[in-house]
Order: sequence, then C-alpha cells, then structure tokens
Amino acid sequence: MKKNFKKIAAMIMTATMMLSLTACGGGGTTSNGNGGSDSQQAAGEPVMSDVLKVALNADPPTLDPLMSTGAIVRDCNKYIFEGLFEMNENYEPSPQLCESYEANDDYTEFTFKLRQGVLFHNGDEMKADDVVASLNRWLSKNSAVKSLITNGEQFEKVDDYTVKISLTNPCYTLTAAMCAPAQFPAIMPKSVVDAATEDGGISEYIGTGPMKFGEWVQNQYLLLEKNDDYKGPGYELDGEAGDKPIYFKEVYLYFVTDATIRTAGIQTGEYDIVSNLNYDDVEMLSSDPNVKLDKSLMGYTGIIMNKAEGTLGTNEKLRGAITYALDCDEIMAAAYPAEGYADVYSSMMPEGSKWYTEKGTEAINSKDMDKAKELLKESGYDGTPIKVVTNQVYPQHYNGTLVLVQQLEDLGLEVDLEVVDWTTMLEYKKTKGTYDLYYMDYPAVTTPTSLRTISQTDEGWTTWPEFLDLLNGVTSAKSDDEAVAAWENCQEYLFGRYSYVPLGYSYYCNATTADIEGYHSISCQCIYGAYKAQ
Amino acid sequence: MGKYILKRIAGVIVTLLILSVAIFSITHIMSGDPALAMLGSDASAEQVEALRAEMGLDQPLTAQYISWIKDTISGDLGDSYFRHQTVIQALSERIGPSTELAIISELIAILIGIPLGITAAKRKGGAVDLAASSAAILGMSMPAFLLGLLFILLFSVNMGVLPVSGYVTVAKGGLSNHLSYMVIPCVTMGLVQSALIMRITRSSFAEVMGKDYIKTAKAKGLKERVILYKHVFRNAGATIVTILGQSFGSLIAGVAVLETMFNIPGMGQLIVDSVLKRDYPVIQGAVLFVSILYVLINLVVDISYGFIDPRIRVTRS
Repeated sequence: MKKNFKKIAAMIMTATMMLSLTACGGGGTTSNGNGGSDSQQAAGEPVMSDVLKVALNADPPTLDPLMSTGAIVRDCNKYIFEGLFEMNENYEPSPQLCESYEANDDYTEFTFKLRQGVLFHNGDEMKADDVVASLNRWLSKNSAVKSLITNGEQFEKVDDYTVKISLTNPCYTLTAAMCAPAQFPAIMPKSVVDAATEDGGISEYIGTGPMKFGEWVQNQYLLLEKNDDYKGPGYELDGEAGDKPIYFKEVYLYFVTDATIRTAGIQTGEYDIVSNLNYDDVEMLSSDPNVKLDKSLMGYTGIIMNKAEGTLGTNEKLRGAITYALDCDEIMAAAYPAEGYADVYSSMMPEGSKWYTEKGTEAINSKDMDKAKELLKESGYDGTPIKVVTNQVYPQHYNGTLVLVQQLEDLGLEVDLEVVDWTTMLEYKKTKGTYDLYYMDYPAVTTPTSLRTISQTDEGWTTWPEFLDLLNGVTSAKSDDEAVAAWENCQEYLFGRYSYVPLGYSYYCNATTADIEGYHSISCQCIYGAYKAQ
Repeated sequence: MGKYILKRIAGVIVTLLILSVAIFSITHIMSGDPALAMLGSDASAEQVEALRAEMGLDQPLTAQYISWIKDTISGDLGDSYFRHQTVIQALSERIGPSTELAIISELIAILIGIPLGITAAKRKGGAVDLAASSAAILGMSMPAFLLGLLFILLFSVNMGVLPVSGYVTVAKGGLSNHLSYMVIPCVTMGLVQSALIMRITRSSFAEVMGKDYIKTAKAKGLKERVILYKHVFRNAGATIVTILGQSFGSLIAGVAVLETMFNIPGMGQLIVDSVLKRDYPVIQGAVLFVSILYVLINLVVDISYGFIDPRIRVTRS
C-alpha cells in the first residue's frame, strides 16, 4: 500500500498543485465579470465602469509621438495627446485643439485660432507658447513634413490663443499632414518640449487628451486614467476627431505579443478588447457568443519595387512584366484569409477619400500573362535572381509574400527569398541596393503627399524629377479640385512607369467581449464611447 | 579546498573576459540598427544618423568596446536605449520573476523527476519504467510553448479556472492572485525539466545499482532503503546535481519563449525584447549577467561534489 502511494504520489503532484493554487487564485479570469451571461444584455445608456483591459499586439519602444513612426506608439499615446487637427471618417482633417484656421489664397500663410480653456493634465491651460514649441519640434522631427516645409520656416505666436506660420512655398496639404498617424504633432506643455532630449525624447507624458498617463511598465502594460477635466471641441465623435467620451476610470493597455494568447484572452474574458487577431481565428471566434468581432482600417498594402541603383528594379520593362503578371486578389487572399478584411483595388488613396482615383491602373491586377511575358522578353532579363525580403513578425507579410514569390516564378523569374526579423527588415527598407522587392503595409494617410510608397529616400526610391514636379502640383494647388487633379496626374505617371503595385486596403481584426457596447474604430482601435453593459 | 576555489575563481575571471569580447562582437555583428528600431520605418536617413551619433554608435567598434568594458568593470552597465532606466535597474527588476519561476519550476521538476527516475531504475525493464521513460521522452520532445498552449486551452479557455497570461505582483494583486498567474508557466517548465531529470536519475541509478558493491550490500542482507539512499544515491548524486545545476541555470537565465508567451517580466523576456529592438547595452549587460550566473552555479555544483562524494574531496585536496 505504502509503495503504491509512493508510485502515484509523484504523478499526481502537479495536478494537486494546480488545483490547490487554482482554488486560492480563482479570481484570475472570472472576477472581472465578463462572463457570457452578462453579454446577452441589451445595450443601454453608457455607464461608467472601473477598469477596461485592452490587449495590444506590440510593445511600444517609446510613448513620445515624435520619436517613433510605429503604429503601436500612436495606439498608446493617442489617448493622452491631441493635435490641432484630427482625422475624421472621410480621412479629412477636422479641428480638434484649434477653434478655426485661415489660410491665404496661395496657402503660404496659415493662422490658427486656439480653443480657450483647454487644460493640460498638469492643470495648466494650453496657450500659444505650448503650441508653438510642440509644432516646431514636430517640424524638426517629422521627415514627411520636412519635405513639405523646406526652408526652415517656424510656427510663431501671435497672441496667447493665435499661432501662425508663413511659408516661402505654398503648402495646400499642411493641415492634412498635421493629422497623419505617424509622428503626429501632439500638443504638450512647452516645459515638456524644452526638457526633451535628442535620443530619449520627452520624459513626461502630459497632453490634453481624455486620458492621463498613469503608469508604464515596459513589456507589460500602460495604465491610463480618465481625465475628468477633459474638454472636447464640442462636436460628436467623427473618426478620430470630436469629443472623446471615456466610460472607464482606468484603462490598462496590455502588450500581448502572442496572437494565440490574445485570442484565448478574449475568449476567457481576461481582456475586454483585443487587437490584431490572427485571421485564421476569425471563423472560430465568430461562433463564440461571448465575443464580438470588429475591424479597423489597417492601411494600404502593396508591392514595393526598388528603383535605386544596383537593383533589378531599375529595369522598367521588368517592373512592367511583374506588374502585368501579379494576381493581386490571390496575394491579398493569402495575406488576409478571413473574408471581409481586405479590399482589393488599385487606387493609392482609400475609397471614400476625395483623393481616390483609378487613373492609370490598367496594368495593375490585369493578370495579363501574355503582356507580362512580352515585357519580360523585352527587358532582357538574364536569370539573375530577384531578391525578395519579408518577415514573420506580421503573418500577412509572410503569407502574401509566399504567393507573390510563386507568381514571380510562374512568370519565369528566379527568386531569392530572404526571411528576416523586423529590425533587419527596417534596415533593408532604408538601404539602397539591398533588395529588389517586398510586400508591405502602411497606415492610412489623409493626403497623398504622406504616402510612404512615393518616398524619395527609401521604400523603393521614387526620385524621378518629372514625378516630383507633378507632386509639387498637389502641394501648391489653390483648391480641392486643383489638388485632386494634380494627384490624379501623379498616380497616372507612377503607374505608367510601373513604380509600385498597389494591392488595396486591409483591416485589423479586433474583438471585444459581448458586454462591450459602443466600440468604435477608424484607423486603429479606439475606446472612445465604448462602455461595459451592466 | 580553499586553493581549489581560488583557482576556480581565477579561471572564472578569464572566462568572463573572453565572454565579454564574444558578447560585444556578436551583439554588434547582428544586422539591424537600434536607431532605426527606435525611429521606425518612416524615419529619414538624417534622423537615423543623428540618433546613431547620440547613441555613440558612430564611433569605431574597438572604441565602443573599450568604453563599455571600462564602465562594466567599474560597475556601470550603461543605459538602455529604449527604457528610461539603467541596465542594472532593468536587470534587478527582471531577476525576481525569473528566480521565482525558476525555483517553483525546479521544485516541481525535482519532486516529479527524481522519484520517478528512482522508481524506473528500480523496476528497470518493467511496466513502470516503460511508462515513465516514454513520458520522459514525450516531455523532452514536446516544445514548452506547445505544452503551455495546451494547458491554456484546458485550464483557461475550457475550464476557466486559471488566467491566460500576465503577471501580477503580490503587492498589487495579493498572493493568491499572484500565484494563479504563475501556475501554468511553472507547471509547464517543471514538467519539461522533470523529463530531463527523470532520464538522468534513472540512468545514473541503474548504472550504480549494477555495481558489484551494491550486489555485495544486497548479499549482506542490507535493507533496500539503506542501499538506495546510503550507497546508490551518494554515488549517483554527482551526476544528478550537475543536471539540476544546469536545469536551474537555464531556468533562472530566463525561459525566453515561455516568458514572452505568458508575458512574465523576467530575464528571458528582457533579452528577447532587447534583441528584437537591438538595445545593445541591455543585451550585453543581460548576457554577461546570465553568463556570470551560469559560471557561479557551476562553481556551486562543483564545490557540492565534495560534500556528496568524499572521494572527490580527497582527490582535489
């Protein structure tokens, strides 16, 4: 009997420990009250709750809006900081911290009237000195803006509630650039800007947003606390712009890099909202009564062709052959396997935006293999391998690239595929002559001049002088119609030279527990207006 | 014994100096740029260059190494590029969760692995041996993350009794809440490590049990318990202690995949995160720290041989 006990003791030890610890720690998943029974309640008036737990897919390297272009940085700091303008649902700038603005006829002088009575989280009122310091730091840090404002012009204070900038060259798209998602001009106290260092950025996170910085434990979570003094611009939430109601006293943004854990976390109710789920899990989650699926615009997706010296992309006929051969539907279906998370179209700007155009898109997604082979023959391609780089950090990049490689091989090209980590991928993107092609996605932008895919300093090096002249027509336009027409010419020129293959726009798969109502999202997930049904 | 320990410590210093060169070189040979990792893909070339200069990365590698090793010897491991803290602060924050994970996992592994190994050795070739050995092979072959995911599926998703992932300190969430987050990672690692310990225990015991002096002891009519614990255990002990030391070292150094998966703020997660972001000072500091830890654990294991087996003590003296 004693021997038998000894034999089984070791085997049941683990189970015993699990059960005993489980008994004393049972609150882990059930105490937050996200059980299925509550989820069936009907939506009612928004009510205040204590805590919201959100699981994000990445870990921000910084919370300083100007120190990183990463989407995760914006996903975290947008609740703390606001800009003078925010992007509305039509991808247009809407006034947020400014009451109104005026531009002269040739868009060389802009005057911004600030809203009065807006308080920073430290209790001080936002005034022109703070705005000037914040915007001038933005001018010095944001590379896209540097290409718009080229003569070192600065924002100036007119009075406590008025700020202006005078430019040498016209800049029709300035206000749109002010609400681009990457490196946005967050308004913060002048003292915070003055204390910022070159390599570390700001060390205090004080803004005017609906949530205040609470605690940041790197690799773990960011705690945000409701800002009771928040004062919105006075109009209903429209995209990222407008009043931003918060119905939680505290919001924890957890950094959960493993998609499987995020999926399990929303199923168990450990998290109330999760972002960026695996598309493979969509079918399973859609039949779970405790989970509600949601999608938010990720941005634009396409195939970057390197046109810098020393790459195969300098051969225009070869680029043409690839453009005609690619089946964009197939690539996007592989990258986003769940239905409804990708819109395949060829405009570089999104549907619903005034900039949307199909000009010059004939060759794209034409799947015309005969024309492709004809161009390939004319290109004089000698069998040199095409170097395609990708990463597995973002599964859609890898999955889309595998189909892309297959299609290139079907065309008759030799392909050398290299899979690297994200930091190495960033280096590839920035280094001339190190690759030929890659699949990439980018956050949606409000103006075509902010498109990464027309960059002159990376992302394929689009440096044709004729194109830059055409692009200048967009920034120096005097009206919407003139700017849109100028952009149409730009897109036509780019596609005519097979500069880039747009695949379309894609969406993140997010989810909430069934008791979360009013969840709203546009370019990334948002908790404004979301509340927990009682 | 004292002379032996001094000799070992001198060896450790030389090892660490060689290691420092290797760690520094490997860290800087890696492709990828910390300035780019910080600024993101939209940053311009001039922004990247400016930040590289701020970080001191524009200096020649030898100058960077000399500066780093001088600071390290004086006890300064530098500042993290991405965390508003020094490397020592980052390490001291992370060592606690890793140590806790390591101690609980190792205890589970010992409590399962050693009794199972002894039982299997005693019944060599029998049903118990076969079952335990098969389970051990399965445990050693199965990746820890897969076992962890299976536990999450069972205990979190299906039964709803344990949290999926995360880490709550005792001060913030109380002891029971804290432990509930540690159960799945600890049991996962404990089971994986127990498979290795069971295999080593079994083979060491089986080998010693076949020796003539054990047969003599049996012939003398000594009780099985006395033979097992007084003769077999002391002779097989050195091998088992070695494997326990290695196992504990690997656990405390951070079980990278598991800590990342379960979001435990330990050494493993710190190293993975720093490698992905190319946070050179943290990578160098953390790897050096882990190396010192390994060397120290080996030193303790080495010294403990003398206590387990008096013959070793005599030979060394």
